[in-house]
Amino acid sequence: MLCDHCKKNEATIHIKEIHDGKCVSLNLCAQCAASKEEKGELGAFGLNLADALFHIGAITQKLQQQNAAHAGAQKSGASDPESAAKSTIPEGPVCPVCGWTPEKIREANGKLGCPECYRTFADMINNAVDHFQRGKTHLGKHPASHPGHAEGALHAELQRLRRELQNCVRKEDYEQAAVCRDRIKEIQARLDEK
Amino acid sequence: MSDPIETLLKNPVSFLCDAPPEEDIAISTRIRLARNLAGFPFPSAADEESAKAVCDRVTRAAAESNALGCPDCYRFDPAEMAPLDREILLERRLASRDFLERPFGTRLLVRGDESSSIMINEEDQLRLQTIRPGFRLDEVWEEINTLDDELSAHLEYAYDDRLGYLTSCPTNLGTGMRASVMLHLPGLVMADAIGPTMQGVLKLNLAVRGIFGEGSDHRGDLFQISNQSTLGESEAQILAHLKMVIEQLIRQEKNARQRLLAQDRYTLLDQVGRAYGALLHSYKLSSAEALSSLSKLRLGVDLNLFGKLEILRVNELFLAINPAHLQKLTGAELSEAERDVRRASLCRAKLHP
Repeated sequence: MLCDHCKKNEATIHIKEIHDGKCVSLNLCAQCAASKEEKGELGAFGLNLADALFHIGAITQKLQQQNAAHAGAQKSGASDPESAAKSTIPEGPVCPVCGWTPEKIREANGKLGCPECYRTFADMINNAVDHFQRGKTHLGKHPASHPGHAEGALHAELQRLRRELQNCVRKEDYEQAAVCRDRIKEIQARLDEK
Repeated sequence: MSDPIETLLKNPVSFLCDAPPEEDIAISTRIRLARNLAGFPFPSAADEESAKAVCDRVTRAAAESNALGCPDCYRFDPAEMAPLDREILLERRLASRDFLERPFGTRLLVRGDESSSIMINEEDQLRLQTIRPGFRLDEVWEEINTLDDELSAHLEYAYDDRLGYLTSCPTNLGTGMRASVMLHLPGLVMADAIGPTMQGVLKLNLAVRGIFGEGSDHRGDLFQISNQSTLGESEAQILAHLKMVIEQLIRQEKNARQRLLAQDRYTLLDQVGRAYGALLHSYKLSSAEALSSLSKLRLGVDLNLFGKLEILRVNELFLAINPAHLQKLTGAELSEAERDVRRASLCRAKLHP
């Protein structure tokens, strides 16, 4: 099989990824894979990892459209031209601690600036977490100095899993149903301990 | 004080050399934990001052808690090291390429036997690692969990009730844990069954990688299988799932070997014999050829085709043939062509009956 990129060398690296429920594959020779990796283009197929995780491209575009519409409205209202020009720059959320924006996260290939970013960009991150993590709530260990899992979070996860279990049974996806059932059991056991 | 890299080189790498012989398919088990300190930016947003403050704090915590046997542990500051010495840390799987190339604030602390280490200011401020030979997920977890507890008594981690340990990239969120087992699967490769097998593994929400962590190249028939998801399951659940899949893969590899021996015995013997021949009689060996031949030789040793040859001698060569080790052991910088000659001479010497 020839490399999808240079179409000359034999492809020795084969990557498969699932995007929006569709399986897509990429076959590369060692040289093209190395050069793509160097440029940070290998994550999610030549896409920036941040785009794949957070759909930041779409978010930025939406903000630009909103701002353009806003600027247009201001213009027709004959406000001062300077503020109309300024508002064409997208104004996404900005982390109050490290000053990072969605665009900056995109530049950093999906990495965040500081712990506070998790609060600032919560909506964006929650959507992403749905795609690549198996659950939404941490069920692992906690630092010794920390009181442990909040009961509310465990109850919320339990409800979510019960809904997912019903869906799986309806779709006859018994493998996934078994995974849900085991996780429900574990959370139930934790709640019983409390 | 003597050069710590020279001291490292005198010791065989524990994850390759201490395995009991029955654990021939699973070469090593590694767990990494990602942790960050509350109130500090993640390394990608940190300036030099902040990165250094984190580095000092973690070094102090390691010394106070006696983690890794510190202060008597190895301590490396990659930004101040010669490029070849940095490569040694990479080849011994103590550091990642990304970590070694960061311009400031990085430090690596390593226990004397190289089993556990902490990268400070990699993608996350702390990357704890424990690596042991063979298939020992429970033992490795126990060791790294203790190390994590020792450090957390002296450091305040960035932690959230719902999201768990907060990491620089949300793909590590929650437990911050990546557990992986390195498997040697020449039987499945030879039987042309590796593709479908690995696709099955991917469907089970696990990741498959090549020998030194990144990339998907599987030269040497070495595969690293690790957990993909880090949030929504406890460490015990993640490890149990991984363990089940690895046990299944080991069974499949054993079956593939037995099938090859029963149905295609002479092709198998021929491949193993030619690989041994190449290693014993070549005068120029590229890294790729050496790895692929060593892999087949290792299979031959596992199948008891060589009476006297010990698997540890073969394992040792998997590390010694790498470019930086080859150059440090020779005591000179070598061009690629010179390395090929040196690599062949090393294999001839080490494998001579």
